[in-house]
Amino acid sequence: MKKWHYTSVAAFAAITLMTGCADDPHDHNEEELITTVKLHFQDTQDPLDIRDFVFRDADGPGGNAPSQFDTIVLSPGRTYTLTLELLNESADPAEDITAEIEEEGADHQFFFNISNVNITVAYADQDVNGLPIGLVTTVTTASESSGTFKVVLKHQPGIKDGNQATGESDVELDFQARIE
Amino acid sequence: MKKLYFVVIYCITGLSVPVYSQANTCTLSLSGKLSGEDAADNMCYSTVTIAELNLSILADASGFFRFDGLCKGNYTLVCSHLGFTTSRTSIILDTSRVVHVELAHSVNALPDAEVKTEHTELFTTQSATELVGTQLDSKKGSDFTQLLDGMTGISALKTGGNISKPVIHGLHSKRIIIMNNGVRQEGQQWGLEHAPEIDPYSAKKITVIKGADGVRYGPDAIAGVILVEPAPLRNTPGTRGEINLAGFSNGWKMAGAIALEGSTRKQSPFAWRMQASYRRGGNISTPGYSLKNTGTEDMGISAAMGYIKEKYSGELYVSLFRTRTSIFSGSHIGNLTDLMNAINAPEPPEKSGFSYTIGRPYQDVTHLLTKTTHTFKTGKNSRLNVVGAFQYNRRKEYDKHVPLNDSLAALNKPALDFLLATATLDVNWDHKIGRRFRGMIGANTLYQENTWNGNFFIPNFRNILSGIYWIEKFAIGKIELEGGIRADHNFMQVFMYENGQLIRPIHQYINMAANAGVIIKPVKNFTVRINYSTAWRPPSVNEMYSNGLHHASASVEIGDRNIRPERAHNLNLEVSYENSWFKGSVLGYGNFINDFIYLRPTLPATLTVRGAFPTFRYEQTDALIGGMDADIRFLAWKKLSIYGKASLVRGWNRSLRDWLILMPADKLEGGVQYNFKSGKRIKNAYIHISVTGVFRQTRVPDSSDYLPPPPGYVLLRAGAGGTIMIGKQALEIYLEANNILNTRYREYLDRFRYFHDAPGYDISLRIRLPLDFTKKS
Repeated sequence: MKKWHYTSVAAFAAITLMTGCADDPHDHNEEELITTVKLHFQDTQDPLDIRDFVFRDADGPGGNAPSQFDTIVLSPGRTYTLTLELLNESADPAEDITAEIEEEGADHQFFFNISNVNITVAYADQDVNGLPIGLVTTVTTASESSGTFKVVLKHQPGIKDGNQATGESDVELDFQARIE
Repeated sequence: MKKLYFVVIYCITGLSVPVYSQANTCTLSLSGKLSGEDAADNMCYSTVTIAELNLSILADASGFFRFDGLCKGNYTLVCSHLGFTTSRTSIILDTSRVVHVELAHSVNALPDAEVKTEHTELFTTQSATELVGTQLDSKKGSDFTQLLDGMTGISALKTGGNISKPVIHGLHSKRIIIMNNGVRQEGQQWGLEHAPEIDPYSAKKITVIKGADGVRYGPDAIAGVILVEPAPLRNTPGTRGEINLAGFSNGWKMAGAIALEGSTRKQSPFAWRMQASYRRGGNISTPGYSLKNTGTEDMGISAAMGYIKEKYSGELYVSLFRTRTSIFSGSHIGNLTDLMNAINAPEPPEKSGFSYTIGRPYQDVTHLLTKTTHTFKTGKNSRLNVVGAFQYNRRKEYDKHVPLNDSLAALNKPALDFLLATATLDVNWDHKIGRRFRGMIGANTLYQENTWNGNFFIPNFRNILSGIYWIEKFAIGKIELEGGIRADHNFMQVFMYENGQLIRPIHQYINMAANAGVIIKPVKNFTVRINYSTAWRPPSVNEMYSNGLHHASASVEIGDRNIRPERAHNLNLEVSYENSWFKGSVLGYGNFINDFIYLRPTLPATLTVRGAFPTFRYEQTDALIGGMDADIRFLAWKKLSIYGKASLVRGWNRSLRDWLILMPADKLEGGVQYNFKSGKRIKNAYIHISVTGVFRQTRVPDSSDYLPPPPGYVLLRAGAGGTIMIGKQALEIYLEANNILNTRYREYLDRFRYFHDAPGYDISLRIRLPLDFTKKS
């Protein structure tokens, strides 16, 4: 007789532990997704010349394709201050990732790889250890040309030393760029 | 009242072990052969005991046994084998004699012996390999999949040095079923980096059925079934147990387990067993470097209580297993550029020393199984078995980095968190009609719910599976025929949000499985097995609902909700020959799988904020997987055995006319073992040495992988073992050395071959102490 008691208790426990939960799922909500990267250029001699170029993939990787991937257009022979802004627009209200990267600046670095277009980039910010972060840079343009302006964000906790190859890439965007 | 000795069966690598009696003046021998009443019965490793001398030996793989150094006298020869009625023969020994003992089938349990579980008797004509006794004991402490290493046709799909899952004839995950103590193991087995959550110490016998077995076990058994069985409960009075300890040099891994079992008193119907195990390892070493963050910790406990009477026996069983496994630090990549940097680096850039720390990224998986079994004797040779079980599988996977946001980081939540709860009820009637017909009619029901937390990867679902089946075996003379048929109904409902809306799609299938097989013994020592099986499997939830970045493989995977179930037609032919000095078997197989589900690379690549990712879609094709397993063994002078093994697999995508990805490369193994004569103090001692060669896998589809398959390699292995008698206490010791030459190599079936080499040499020492606290009367 005792054996039947165990069986019915086990069955009861099994059913109560299971029912109801599957029917009520979460909505997809990836925390700390970077959906939007904004490149904010401001001419150092002419502060009224402000250009914003945006990459936006509102639902994150997969799903719908990115809705916006601007081409960078700059004037020749100018110097700009470039400020980066990263957001998670899948959350409501939009999450500001820029502030968090700045807070953990010692674990992050932006790298800029330019090809074929006459742009040079120099870091203009620093983390607590004196290494650059790259949220703010000085961008100098030369003659008319076109090519690629690649923006990479590396996450390198404990191993940041200016080497682009280590750590994980959180952002890698090949912006088309033109000087005209 | 007949007293029946309960006997533990253990196999000693195919040799019978002669036992020498104390007195030197006695020189008579008693030898012979055991056979079962049917041609197909295999009496390997039966226990043969001379009652008056309390002398027990094991018959060899063919049922031959021998006692030497006996004195003249009257003896009672007791022979037993699981599934047969123990026989007692009186022998008058005045000169050396050879006897032939035939055992009769017993569908019923040995009374006052063990709880008979319905899976102990295999209803299959498929090729099956057993791992039991010393062969299993000499590997205890290793991961579950590594226990199967050495079986032909079996490989391992690895994710680094800590995670491995079994591959049978090229197929794995949801194309094989693992039966854990008679219950279908349900965890997130679709995942390539999800190892089976089974405590390797809990197994006393592991049987691998190579080939489809969809009739007996239901959907998913397309390539094979692995049966993991603990020690059966027995109500022989007294308390017994064993202690197992192991230490491994690579990763400085320590492992141990203690098991105790017993029964309260003579004639008691109750029996119990308890077991606990623990394993802890640190960073693994490859020949050139240590792997950062590869420590592991496993623990398991289980308890069983049985009630055994002639007409009814019942058992309650609970087991809890938890594993925490760190994942190699350098495997966490952000995007394709990172993956290419890792592939091109000769050594992982992140270096490390040795540590036991389990850090991020890591997996934390808990598996709880509770089971109740009831067996009713319904006739002279038939039983009704009822098994009810509940499983709870909780899988938490922690990412390498905590969220940037401090308050989120403080919560320390896993990135992926799945809870799978499964309830099963299996009923079968195991019957014997006359001397010739033996069969089983049964029904299975499964009810399962999956819920997730953290990041979305697979949706919530409710899954219900019901099936009924009927198998009959007919044995006459040298032939045994078997046929079976099964019908299953599968209902799965998914619950998820899509574009802000809650959807509840339903997937329903009704399908059949069938098999027909024959075992023939045309001439003495020859056995031929031919089997045709058809089985099916429903598409798994990740094949239908994946839609996004799979970080671990730097790719985007897209599922297809309209995927149809797979249907497999499996044809096997096995020929084996065995006599006292040679044993050989060759198994040829072909598995036609229609609507085979696989990941096909598609264009264009998916653009994301991390750059472009190669994109794969789940598609269906018609596939053919075929191959051959061969095993041969020579035994010279009863002491020296030389063996060779070969496993060959070919996987072909018939529709695309190209090879299938991730098929195991050809593998050869050869070795020599020498068995020492057993003495008073040291028994069953042996030494062995073996060489394993794995070829480079050249048969892969073009443009389907980031890195071509690695070169072939050769590994050297050696070991020794034996039993030391300390007074009446036996102490078994096994010393093994793997990859003695510290060869640098990478395995094709290791998903981490992009990042690092396979482990270097590993020396292990295992100790087994069987205990018996019963007072001798």
